[in-house]
Amino acid sequence: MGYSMLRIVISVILIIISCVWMFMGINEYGMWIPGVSADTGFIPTVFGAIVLLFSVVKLVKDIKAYVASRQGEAAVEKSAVSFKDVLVKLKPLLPAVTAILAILLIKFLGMVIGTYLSLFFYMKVVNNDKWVKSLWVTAVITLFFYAVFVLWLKVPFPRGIFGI
Amino acid sequence: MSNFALLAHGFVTAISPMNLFACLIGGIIGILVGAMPGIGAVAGCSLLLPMTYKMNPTTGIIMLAGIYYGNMFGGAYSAILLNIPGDSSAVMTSLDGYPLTRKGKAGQALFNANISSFIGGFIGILFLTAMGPTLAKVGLKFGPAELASLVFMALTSIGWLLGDDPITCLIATGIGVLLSTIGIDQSSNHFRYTFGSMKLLAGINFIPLVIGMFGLSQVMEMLEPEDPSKQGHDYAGKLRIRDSFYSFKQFLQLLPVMVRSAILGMFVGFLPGAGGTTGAFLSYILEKKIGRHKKEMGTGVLEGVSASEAANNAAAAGAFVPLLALGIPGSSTTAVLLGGLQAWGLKPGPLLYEQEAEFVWGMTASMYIGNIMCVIAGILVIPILMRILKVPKKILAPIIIGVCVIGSYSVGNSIFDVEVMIIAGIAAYYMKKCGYPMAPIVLAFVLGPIFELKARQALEISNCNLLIFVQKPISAVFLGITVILCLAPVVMNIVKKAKAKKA
Amino acid sequence: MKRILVLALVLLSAMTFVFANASGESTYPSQSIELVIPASAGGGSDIMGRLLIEIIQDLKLTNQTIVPVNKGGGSGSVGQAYVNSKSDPNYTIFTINDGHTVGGNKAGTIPKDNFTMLASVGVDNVLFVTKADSPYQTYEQALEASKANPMKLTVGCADDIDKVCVYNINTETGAQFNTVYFNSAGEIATAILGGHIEFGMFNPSECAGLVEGGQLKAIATMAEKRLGAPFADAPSFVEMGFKDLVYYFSRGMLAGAGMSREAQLWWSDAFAKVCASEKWQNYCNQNGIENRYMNCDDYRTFYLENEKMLLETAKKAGAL
Repeated sequence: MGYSMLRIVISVILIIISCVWMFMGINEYGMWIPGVSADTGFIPTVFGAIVLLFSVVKLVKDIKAYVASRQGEAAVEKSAVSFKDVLVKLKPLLPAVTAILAILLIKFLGMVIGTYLSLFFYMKVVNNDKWVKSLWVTAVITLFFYAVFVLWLKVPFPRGIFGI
Repeated sequence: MSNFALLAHGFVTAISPMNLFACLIGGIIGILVGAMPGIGAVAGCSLLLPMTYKMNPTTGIIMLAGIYYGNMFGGAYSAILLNIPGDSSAVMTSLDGYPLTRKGKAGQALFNANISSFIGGFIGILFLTAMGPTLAKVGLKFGPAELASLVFMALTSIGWLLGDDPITCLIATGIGVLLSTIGIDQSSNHFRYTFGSMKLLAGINFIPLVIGMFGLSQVMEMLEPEDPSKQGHDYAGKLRIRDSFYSFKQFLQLLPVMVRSAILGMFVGFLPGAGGTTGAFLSYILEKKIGRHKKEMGTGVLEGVSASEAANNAAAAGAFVPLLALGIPGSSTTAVLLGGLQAWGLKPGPLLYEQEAEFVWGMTASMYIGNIMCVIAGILVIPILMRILKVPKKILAPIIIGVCVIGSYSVGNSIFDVEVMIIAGIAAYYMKKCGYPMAPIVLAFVLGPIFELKARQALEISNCNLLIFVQKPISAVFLGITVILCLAPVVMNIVKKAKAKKA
Repeated sequence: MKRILVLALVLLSAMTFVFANASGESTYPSQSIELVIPASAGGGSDIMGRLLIEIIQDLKLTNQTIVPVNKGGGSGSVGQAYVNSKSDPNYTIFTINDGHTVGGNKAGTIPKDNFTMLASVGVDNVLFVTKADSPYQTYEQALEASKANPMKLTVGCADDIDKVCVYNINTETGAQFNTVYFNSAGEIATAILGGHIEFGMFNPSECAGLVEGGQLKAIATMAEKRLGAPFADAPSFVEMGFKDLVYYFSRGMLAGAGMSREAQLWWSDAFAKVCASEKWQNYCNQNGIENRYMNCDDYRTFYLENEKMLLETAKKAGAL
């Protein structure tokens, strides 16, 4: 039952989202057109209600569990969260960071350079591979993508200042 | 049956060297395009369509058809090996395919996917041959009300997919529907939930969503601290083709799964408004309900792969039914083919079978041939595919990230899709950690809009008379089945308790 | 020393001459062009767009490549939003039709002073179609039936324009047809053939196959005069006495706001040549489209008026 705090956060986010959906569904999009059929807001409101209802139930459950676990571990866990633990928890975000980096680099520098640099970032920084290895492995991967998606499939990628 | 006589003539056309070559090229391109996440059969076909203008129409469509069903073969590969479905119809394949890889059974999974695709395609083409025009007429009987009830039945079955925690499952289903409401509302042509953003006008694109949810979140999981109990996992298993084969006995056990999935997939394939993805979904759900290993589905069972793959190949064949018999495309890929037919000067419609018999039967015959070519190619390629698994995780990770980013972009040539993919990946990663199932989100995302559109169309036709859903016989049947399926467990529970009391 | 100076001066002036030529006098177009098709691959707009590119290349009107880009969705608004987002308006053009004009207004993707009009390329027709063996073999019969059963007979519509047409038909002829949106002409045809709805609005190319095959029947057209085979039996509304019930579905080429006049004139001229070509004429004949070219200025006048009319009616029809 790790991530007990996160569960609560997610439930709250879902409650907010479903409320927004329901609010707009009822007020802006309309629920029913008599004599014709359901209106644009009907389905979003119904399913928003489902998400809302069950998220609230889940929230209550999760809060109870959180409180219980806190009471149990209170004494033991005070020493707690070192910087290293936080880093470990954040490490999984790195692929997403790499992907975001890829978007920015591809937009401004073009597909080839963008892909190369962002994947190189991953290999060197995240994996901590050696320089030479990072350089040529990334080159091979980038070449593969270029060959398949640009040369063969002719996908129109953004062209950066260097034109590729 | 005279149809089979015509088919025999068709084989003569199909075996011409030019046509055989086109068939082979089409199939291989289809497999490659299918295996590459992001770009799908629609894009593959529209890219090659201009090239085919120079060929004679029969050769051209043989090649394009090859791309179409080849795509259904290839979509399974990245789904099984990397948990990134090659396109929407392979989503269900990854549910059992990837766990099989983790168990070291990737070879078997790939082999099974190929064989199931072959059988599914074969059955689909067989129906097309024997009863094409008749099936088209049957398909016509499924109007908005009927489809709404069918999809409703499927939606209520989602809950059965993961009986563990009904609450998170329901929330997941709801999330899927809410996400699908962003964009244009097909029933009224008004825009919803775009929050003033130009980018959300078209809504959230399915493939980038899936790539993010399955692919990116997976790479993120790779970066977690190594679990000692998972060490020494040889995903690649055995590399020789021989070891991927399964015994004849296993084949016989899987055959009924393949056949019924194929039949279901084919029917869904030619229903107007449904498609290969829906077909794969429904077959998987059916298998989960009545299959032998229903409890283990989702943890890596060959039946799951068979159900999905047989269905999506059969559905691809099924999509040709309305195209050839009526000139109405049964899916977005066949819509591209329809464009091709018109560009070649052929007139798709009921007269096509009469006026262009050589074309229709030549193409149908070549589908059989192409199916065989694809399955052989697919099996031969297994050892090469499995080598991918030998690539160390540290190198695999940037490759997958690259595939996710570039694949998502290539769907609609839009950076926004990549942004969707990233957000979906991050959200999916954390939600999975908190126990939310991903499959219902995906299913609800696809089925929700179909249900809404069809149900509202039915109501508009009947002037808001809810009774239309029971007045139309086919619709009533589906609703009846839904009621039975929902009540069955409740009733059985009561019966069990009663029996326990007696004893 | 003097010699070196003179040499340097000569070189410098030569270079400025070269650069001046390079930047100032380059002719349009000087780089590759994107032709955005606000529809998915394989559909009618897509085929038309790609054919236009093909003809331009056949006629060798430019050496630059023209790249087709599909941006479907939102009744054309996604494609328009994409065009708006491009930084250089001179190298992106796109196809437009009446449906997308309405769709763009709905979504708010029309720029403040509207797009740049390049040329009108053709005019499509709209047909009122029913099942071949339906009880309503003529429009008069359909009209009677709909008056007797108001809102019970349904017409399938693929976009807002179809809805507007039915609204106009209802207003002018006194009918009371119900309308239902479908995703595509194909789905409307399926619904009609399956007996789920009674009528549908179609362009000729969308139903020709089924009409020739004897499954569908056109019972009226919104053109002024009857169309050719296989729709020759369908009288026009004008013929039936509804003189104001005329509508043509126009198709044209646009570019983003802010395109230079030079570029606009170049395209206007290019499309004049395209529309005069045999290939285009064949395409129009095959698809029941009337080949109607208008240059950029005439088209602008027409387009703005047409848009105004469409939006007014769309509002009344409840589509906006």
